[in-house]
Amino acid sequence: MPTQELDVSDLEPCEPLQRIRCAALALKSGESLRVIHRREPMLLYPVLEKAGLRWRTLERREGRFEMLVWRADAPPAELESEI
Amino acid sequence: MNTAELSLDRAPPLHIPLRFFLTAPLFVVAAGVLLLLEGETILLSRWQPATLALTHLITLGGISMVMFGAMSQMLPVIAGSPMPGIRRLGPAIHLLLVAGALALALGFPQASEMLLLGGAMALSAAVLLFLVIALIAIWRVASPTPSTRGMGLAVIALGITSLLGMALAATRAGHPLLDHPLLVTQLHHGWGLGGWMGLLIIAVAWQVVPMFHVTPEYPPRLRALLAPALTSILVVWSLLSLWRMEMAALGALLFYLGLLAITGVITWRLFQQRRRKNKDPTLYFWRLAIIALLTLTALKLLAGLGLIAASNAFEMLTGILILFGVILSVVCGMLLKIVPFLCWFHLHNRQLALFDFSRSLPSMKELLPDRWAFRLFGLHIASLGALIAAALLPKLAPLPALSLILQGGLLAVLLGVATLRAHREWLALRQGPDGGLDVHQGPEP
Repeated sequence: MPTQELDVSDLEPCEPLQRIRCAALALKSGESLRVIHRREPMLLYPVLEKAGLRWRTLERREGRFEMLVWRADAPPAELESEI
Repeated sequence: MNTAELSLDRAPPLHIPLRFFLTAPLFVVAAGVLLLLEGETILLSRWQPATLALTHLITLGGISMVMFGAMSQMLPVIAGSPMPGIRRLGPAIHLLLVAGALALALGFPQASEMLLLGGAMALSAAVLLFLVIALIAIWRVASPTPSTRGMGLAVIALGITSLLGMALAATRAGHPLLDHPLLVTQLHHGWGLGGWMGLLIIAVAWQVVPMFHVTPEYPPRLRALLAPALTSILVVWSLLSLWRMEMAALGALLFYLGLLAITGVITWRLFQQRRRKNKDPTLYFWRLAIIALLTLTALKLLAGLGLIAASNAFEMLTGILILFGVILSVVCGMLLKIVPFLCWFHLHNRQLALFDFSRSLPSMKELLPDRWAFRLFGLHIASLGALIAAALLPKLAPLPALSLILQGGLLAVLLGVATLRAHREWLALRQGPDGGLDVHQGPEP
């Protein structure tokens, strides 16, 4: 299971990006973050890339995206099963 | 703007859209001043020279100004297709639009050939430059969407409006190019209000309503079909008008308004389905626009059925409902979202370039507080109410004049303060090589 979960699907711009960014940058090695969003957070990707984080995003259905974020040095065990 | 499709590195420099957005409120102030100076004569008939001046201050200086700025930002950001040469041409287009709108506004009351022709030429140049680079950008869009298609149709409608306007200005300046100026005026109104402004608002609404207000998306079929359908109706309406088939043309017009009214009701229902039912000032502007649209449609229908007699007061009333009730409401509401969002967007890009997120950026609501946005809405309601009252009783003209001056002034201050706050925040971020708010360079990739 991801160590943290964050549902930003009800938030207005620009709160989702700020909250995800804050939680993602605080991740430690071995930790992961699962994010639920109504849109694919494209603006976030350059931030994650620069921070050495990895992510995977899936559109579960229209209007529901799930993203898993983790530190590059420690992929989460649930990577395959969760996302 | 759909954040799922935002293209970070293609946004134009912030000074390009901001110069349009920050100028527009000043034209609302100018319209108020004109109304104050000219008084009740403006409200007696739509054909009064001062009325034409007021109309063009609002449609060109207020509304089109914002629309030019919005497209310069949205095409690259939502469609990944920048307008070619916008960095160099944007300031020129802005200057030509400002000069043209002012020249027309001065030229109508003075019946000045030089001002009317000069204004029309400046505006035509602005429109031509804008149209060419906008259409190139739209042509280059890799994956066209209903929004980009709608923008393309809106820009073509702008070109048609501009051509008709040029011919009308020449005719008014004493060089009659037209045998039937009244008919051409009607087409100029139809393509300007229904084509350029109506289609663009729809194209932008597909993006900004779900994004900024956290509503469900518009129905896909509506998004795909509405703008082409409205454009087709405009073409049919134009042909019927040219063929003098007045009843059929009226039917086309009512069909157009009916489709828009249904879209308005759908938009209202989307707002009701918001996930967070917070009090959002922009929503009040949208709802007012929808109420004005439904009222306008009902009035036109009643007039079409012969239940309301045509009169100058009725024409003024419907004109006020379209310009101030529907279009200016949406434009004001969108500005309250778009300007703080753009400021925040560029600050975010700056943080990303520096990779320094130690400072928490101000939220959009901190850049432009809701309490002031609600005061603006109050002034907008006051302006609209006073204009409607003055259309029925022209002696009341000073009331909407003062209200418009206050409204435009407050909007200018709110947008200016949001920009200055963002600039201060920019300075507080670690200084880059150029320093200052990103008014000279685009965001770094």
